Order: sequence, then structure tokens, then C-alpha cells
Amino acid sequence: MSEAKTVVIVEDEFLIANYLDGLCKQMSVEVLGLAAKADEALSLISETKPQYILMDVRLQGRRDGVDVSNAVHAERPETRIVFITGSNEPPTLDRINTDDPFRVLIKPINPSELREAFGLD
Amino acid sequence: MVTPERSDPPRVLRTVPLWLFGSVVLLGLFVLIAGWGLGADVARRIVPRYAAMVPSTAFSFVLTGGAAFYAVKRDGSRAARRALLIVAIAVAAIAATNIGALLLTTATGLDALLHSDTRSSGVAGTASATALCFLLASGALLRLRRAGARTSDLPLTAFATVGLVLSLTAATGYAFDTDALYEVSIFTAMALHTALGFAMLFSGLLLAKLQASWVRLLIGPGTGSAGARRLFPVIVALPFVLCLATLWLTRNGVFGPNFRLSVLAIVMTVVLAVAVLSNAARENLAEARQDALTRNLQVTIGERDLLLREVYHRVKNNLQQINGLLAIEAAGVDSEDARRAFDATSRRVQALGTVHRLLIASPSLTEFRAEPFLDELCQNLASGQDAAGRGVTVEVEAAEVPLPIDLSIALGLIVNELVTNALAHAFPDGGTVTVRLTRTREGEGILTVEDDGTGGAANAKEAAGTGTLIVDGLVRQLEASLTTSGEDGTRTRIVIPKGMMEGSPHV
Repeated sequence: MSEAKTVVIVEDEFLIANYLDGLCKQMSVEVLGLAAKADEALSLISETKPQYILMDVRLQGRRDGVDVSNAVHAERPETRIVFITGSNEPPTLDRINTDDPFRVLIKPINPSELREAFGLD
Repeated sequence: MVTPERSDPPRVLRTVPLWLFGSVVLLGLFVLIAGWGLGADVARRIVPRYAAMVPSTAFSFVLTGGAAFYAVKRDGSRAARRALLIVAIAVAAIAATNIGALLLTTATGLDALLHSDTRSSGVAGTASATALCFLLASGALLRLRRAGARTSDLPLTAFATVGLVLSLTAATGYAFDTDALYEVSIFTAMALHTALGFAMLFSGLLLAKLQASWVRLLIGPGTGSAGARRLFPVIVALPFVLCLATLWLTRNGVFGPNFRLSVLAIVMTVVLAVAVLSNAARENLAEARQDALTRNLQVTIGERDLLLREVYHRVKNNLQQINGLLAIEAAGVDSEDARRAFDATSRRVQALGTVHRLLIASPSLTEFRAEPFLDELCQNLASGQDAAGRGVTVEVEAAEVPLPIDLSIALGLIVNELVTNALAHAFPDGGTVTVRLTRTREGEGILTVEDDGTGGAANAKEAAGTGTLIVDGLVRQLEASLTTSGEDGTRTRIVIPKGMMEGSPHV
């Protein structure tokens, strides 16, 4: 591994964002920032240009995580977006799949799944 | 619930007014050219003893029919609007002149003054019904200038409907007894083809704006409209056919005129009764279907509520199991710090459990009243930390506010931390913790947690500061603001924005 992987966490539940933050730090993945809302997330991502994004589907405000991903991929298609959702119902998954996600993880998150998503063994 | 979309009327209905207006123009041209230009009397009066269509009437037909045709073809265009205005004024002026001539002079209208042929051929000028119909048509043309076909238009409906009824009265009079028609002064000089021309013109005007008049009830998508479509032709045609038949029967001596009235009365009564009853049957059926649908929906909603309660119940049980697991682990721990950490975590899990316990009992299933929630939460904390034994009471004052589920989880965790902190640090010798939730006039929520203790709560940093971390994080999540003051005791005040108080921020 040449240099640390970088990630932005988009999640509106503080307790879950905090948990993901802790997990990433344990895995030596550099957390460039946390965002709870779509527009916050967009400006944070375009500023920090992370390799990975952990993306919650439900966010505060009108736009959801899929909207954010579409916008990010339109600008930087190489960004690896890992969706993290509490709901594995087909409508939600269908909506996620419109964005060609890198990985989809269902809450509750198993740390080894996250490790695998980052390509760490 | 999805509202049914207004279905568009069949395309063929759009061309019908064009055909009608076109026919009106051709009729007017035919009477003008063949009748008055070339002198064919059959074109003027169809049947020799009938009244003739005078040139001003034929000319007005060409104008109104042409303007209406153009307006339908080029709906809403500036040129069409101008044409309608000019024609409406011209036709109204001709009609007004004819009415004025009828009232003031013995001459029978414009044509008698302008066209010698009308005098020599003994034509009885313009019927006042004809002039009236053109005034109505002129009014309807002005309403046609309004763009868009989607709104109801009372003046257009009134003009066109009255005109249609007048012209059909004349046409029916021709069908039954021409002499009887001519006895009614306003119809005396209305020609047969004038009556038919008006019938086409006013039908066209009603069909040109399908949503403007009662026509929309005939073409609508509802079951009521379907019933009207079924009954309308019968109700319209039957009296006419029936009267014509009985007239024929009396003329041929089958029965006398007065018995004819009896036959008509009874047959009409039967027909109308059948129509009313069949409509009643249809409506009853529709209502029964609606009732069945409503019952099904209620059952479905009941099942959904039951399932949601079941889910909350399981979540609550799972949280209790987590607490059980924590307790097992905590029992094997010697360190005081570690035991405190386990206790704090267990209290947080319990606060989450309280939310779900109250959701199960709440009628709405997505929110519940603030007071019992805060009360239960605080009494759990007080008894868990032996507040009574140490002379400390926890009081709750909450306004009558409903708490949505997301807010109640965050609020429960915040209150848990603040009250626990006060209970742990503020009171060497007893006192009171007050938890208050109010709502400002602007809709913001204000949560205050206050103690009258030593002020120790403000200074105390809980083990590793996890309590502070949780409170700060959740306050940020709620987009709320937190202020702490500590003179006598500690007072924490959190202002929660209106949007958060009112429901889930999620879409």
C-alpha cells in the first residue's frame, strides 16, 4: 500500500457517522470530512476530492444520497462510492443501482465488509 | 391516493365544431347566392308557404360561422381574437337594427329597407327570435375569445344553451305544426333553415369549449358521466318521437287530441320513472363498491398498524436483549471505570427502548406526546441512580407537543445524558432537577434541564467525555443550539428549530 486511502463520510445520523469515522480511522483510512446534507456533501467532496465516499441514502433535506452520487460521478467518474443503507428493499436498491455504485452495504455495517470495500485485507 | 387524471375527450369531438361552423357558412352562402342572388325561392324558404331566410340573416350566418370556424382552427391567436371581436360587434349591430326596426316602424327590418326584392316577394322580415339568437351568438363569440378550454364559462354556457333551446323550439314547431309555430309572434318569420342553422351554430359553440359548459358532464370520465351518456339520447329523443307519433295518430283519427295528452303524460311519466330508477340503481351499485373499497382500505391500514407495532415491539425487545448482554459482560468487569462505562451505555440503550415502548402505545405510530415520554425517561433515570434515596427529585414540565420519531430518539438521548450528569454531580445534599420542554410562538422547541445543586454538573467531565460527545453531536444533528449557564446550579438550554419539531427531515 503506497499511501493512505482517503474517504468522505456522508451520513445524517450523528451516532452512525461517528461510528463509521471510528472504523475508518482504525483501518488507517484518512477521513477528509463528514457531511449530513446533500449540498454540504457536494461542496466537501469537490473541495477534498476523496478516493472513496461512504454514502447514506437517506439524508436531511430534499435530495438524497443517490442525487449526490449522480452529481459527483458527473464530475469525477472515478470516485468510488460505497452506499450504506438501512433499507434493502428493492425500490431503494433499484434507485441506488441507477448510479452504478462501487459497493452497497446494508446496515448494520460489519467492519470486515467495510475493510473489503476499501480493498484492505 | 392517486386522483384520476382528466381523460382527454375523443379527437373526433375536436373536428365536430369545425364541421358545424363550416355548414353554417355554406348554408348562409347558399341562401345569399342561390336564393337572393339567383332568385331561387326554394333556397329562401325550402317550402313555398314557409317563411324565408332574409339576406341579413344569411349574411350574419356567414360571418358568425366563419369567425367561429377561424377561432377554433387558430385557438387563442391574436388574429382570431380580433376577427371574433369584429364579427361579434357587426352581428350584434345587425340584430339590434332589426329589433329596432321591428319596434319602431311598420317596415319589417333592415332587409325591407335595403332589398327591394324582399318587399316584392312578400317576405315578413326578420323574426325577433332570429335577432335574439344572433345577439346570443354574438355574446358567445366574445366568450370564445378567451384562450384555453379547461375552465367553466357560465356566460358562454347561458348564451349557447338559450340559443340552442330557442332554435330547437322553432325546428320542433316546423316538425309538428308550422301554422301553430307562426301563431307565436317571436317565431313568426323564422325560416326552417334559419332554425336549423342556429341549432348547428349553438351546438358548435358548446362543443368548441368542451370544458366550459354542461357538455363536460357528457364527455367526462366518471361513472355519472357514463350514465348521462347512456340516458341523454333517450331523454332528448324520446319526447320528440313520442309527440310526433301521437300527433300522427290523432291526425289519422286513431284517438282524439285530449286522449293524446293522456297517452303522452303517462308514457313520459313511465319513461322518466325508469330513467330515475335506473340511475338510482347505478348510484347504489357505485356506492356499494365504494364502501367495499373503503372497508378493504381500513382493513389494510389496520394490518399495517399491527405490523408496525409488531416491529416496534421487536426493536424494543432487541434493545432489552442488548441490555442483557451488556449486563452479563459488566458483571465480569472489576474496574470501576469500566463498570461506569457499561452503566452509561445501558442507560442509553434503555432510553432508545423507551421511545419504542411509547411508539407501540401511540395512536399515530409515528409520533407521541412529549410529556409521558420525558416523564417515563426521567423516572427511569431517577430510580436507576437512587435519586429518592439521596433526597433528589426529577420534575418534568412539557407542553402539549407531539414528538416525531427521529426527534424523540435524539431528544431522549440528550435528556438522558443531561439528567444523568446532574444526578451524578450536582447534589451532595439533595435538590431538584427540572426538565422542561416548551414551544415558542414561532414553533421552535426549547428544552431546558436545570438543577438547583452546587453547579458541579457544569464542571464535571464525564468519563472520557462520551456524554458531551453524544450531546454535542445530536445537537448538531438537530441543527439546534446549546447554551449552558451555571450560577446557582446548572442550566442547559437547547433551542430546536421549527422544522425538526414538526417531523422527519427525510424525504
